[in-house]
Amino acid sequence: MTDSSLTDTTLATESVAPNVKRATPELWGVAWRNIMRTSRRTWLTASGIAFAILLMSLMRSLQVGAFMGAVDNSARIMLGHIQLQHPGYEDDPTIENSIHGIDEIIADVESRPGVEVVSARAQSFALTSSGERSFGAQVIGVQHDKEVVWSSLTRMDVEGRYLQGPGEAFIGSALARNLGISVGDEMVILGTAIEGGVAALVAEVVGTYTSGQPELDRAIVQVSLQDFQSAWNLASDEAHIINVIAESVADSEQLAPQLGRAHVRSMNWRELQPEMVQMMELKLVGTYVLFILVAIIVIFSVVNSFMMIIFERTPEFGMLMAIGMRPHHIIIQLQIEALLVSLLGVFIGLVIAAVGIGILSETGIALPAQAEELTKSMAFPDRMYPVFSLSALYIAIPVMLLGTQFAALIPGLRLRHMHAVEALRAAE
Amino acid sequence: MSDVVVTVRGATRTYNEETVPVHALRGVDMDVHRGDFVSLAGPSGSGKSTLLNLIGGLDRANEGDVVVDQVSLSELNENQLSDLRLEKIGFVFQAYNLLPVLTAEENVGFIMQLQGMSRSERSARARETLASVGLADLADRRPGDMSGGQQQRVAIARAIATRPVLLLADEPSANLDSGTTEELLELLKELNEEHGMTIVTATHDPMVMGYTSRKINLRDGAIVEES
Repeated sequence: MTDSSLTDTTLATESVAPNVKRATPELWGVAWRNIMRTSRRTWLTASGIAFAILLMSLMRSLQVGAFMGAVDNSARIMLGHIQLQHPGYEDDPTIENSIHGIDEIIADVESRPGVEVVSARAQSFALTSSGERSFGAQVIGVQHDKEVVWSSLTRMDVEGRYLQGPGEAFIGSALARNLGISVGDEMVILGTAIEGGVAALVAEVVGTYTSGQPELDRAIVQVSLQDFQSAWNLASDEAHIINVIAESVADSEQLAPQLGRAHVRSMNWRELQPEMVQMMELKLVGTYVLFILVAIIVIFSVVNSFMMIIFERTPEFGMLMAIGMRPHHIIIQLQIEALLVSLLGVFIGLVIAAVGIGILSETGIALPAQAEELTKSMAFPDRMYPVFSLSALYIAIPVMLLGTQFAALIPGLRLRHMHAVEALRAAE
Repeated sequence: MSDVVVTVRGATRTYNEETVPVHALRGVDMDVHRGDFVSLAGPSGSGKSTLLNLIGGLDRANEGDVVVDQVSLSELNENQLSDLRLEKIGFVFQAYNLLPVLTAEENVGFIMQLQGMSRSERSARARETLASVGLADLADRRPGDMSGGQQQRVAIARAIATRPVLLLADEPSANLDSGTTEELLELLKELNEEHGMTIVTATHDPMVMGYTSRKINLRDGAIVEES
């Protein structure tokens, strides 16, 4: 026996009512030590979870980056990030559905933070002709001094130059070819003015552009806004569209709802480019399908890990049951261990994703040369800049956390039917 | 307070091993009084561990009843049996069964943790109990860093720290050498003689039987001799 004996106090009979709920929070520390008992297995399982999170973050961030780049590029060709229109113009784009007081509206919008440039357009369909040839086209009257600042169409493989004043026309190369004209030639434009009048305009072609998008190259004619207002009988403060270019797509999302006013509707890029929104949603579905497949593989590996844990620790669970721990409390402890493993994996995945995406968002990823035609037609930039997307993680993280809990519970439920004596014998 | 801690009446336990039933216990009757140090002895398959498991509420009799501290175990459901073990019974296992990730102090304090005792109180009591079994200096060691004898002492400290009504030990010396077994038995004897701890141990080790105040021999699931 030892030099220090049991005291009477030590063995005083005292009934202690069990209160397992109070003990549960302290099981977290035990759970952490348990998962680190087989650290290699824990790190492998956590790595699988981290990989799933990283995959989802990276894919979604690349997609968002690419689509935001495409949205921005597309907006800067023709559409703008935001358009202010007459409320009826979207459904009925007639010459009469115009907005008045454009100078005041432009001044107001330009004063808003996050706005880069604002310009007005008046537009109508008309017949363009030269000599014996005639083709239909959309004639757009532009504020050429502002348009040249933001519209990349003015710089797309231009032959000649962009508009500098009245009496000039800037047209797509396909239309020029169809009309059999080139820079320096004159073209005639005939349309229907306000109240059924005839709009007639003769302009000298000062430049042609080639965008690579057939619908733009064969059907767009730009003239000065003054020429358009004069030919179509519009007032000098009247136009059909006010294009707003924001400093970023994200800025435009916040700006758009603020710019609407009486008789003027504000449309954001989602309304202006619905096909882009649909494509993004379609891509997102594809990403989720891939993620779910990866998640299923990871969850199976977690099931396997926890089956091993239960097999290896059966005598320990037998002892815990013998000393008075109820099976469901042991299951709770295993669920805590699973939660810690999944949190570890999620944390690692998020850290790697944040660092990787942070670096790539600065350097960009060059697209292969073979994709040039596709990127041009889809208005994608030649480098992709990933944008960290939290939206993907709203689903990915809960899926991994709940999936891991489910995966641990499947083998864990065996504990409900485990017999303490048989479990203890497993050690012999 | 009743003098009888354990009453076993007509306890029968039969295992259905495939088609051939195995009669582990055949109508055993016995009483354990407060302060008894009882050894259940007998060859392998005699039923000593089965009887110990019935007394500890780890197994249920097919027939008959076991009463521990005036509580009939046959009337308790599984959760109530768990609570009874947590409150009233201390277990010492052949393989020690300490939690490898916990220190000696934490292992001793684990049951008190389940009982909801505060961290400071259980830490103090765990250290006090470890000191009482001669392991005051090893409180911060994990089981993997201790000898078999030291681990078994920690297991005893864990079992008695909660002040159970009954201490059950299943082949406590099976994995120990004779010197360590003697130290262990001295410790159990002191617990019994000086502090009145009621101890029931299943063993086939004559050295263990030599230390106990009562010896119950079992053979083929029945008590054949008691001294």
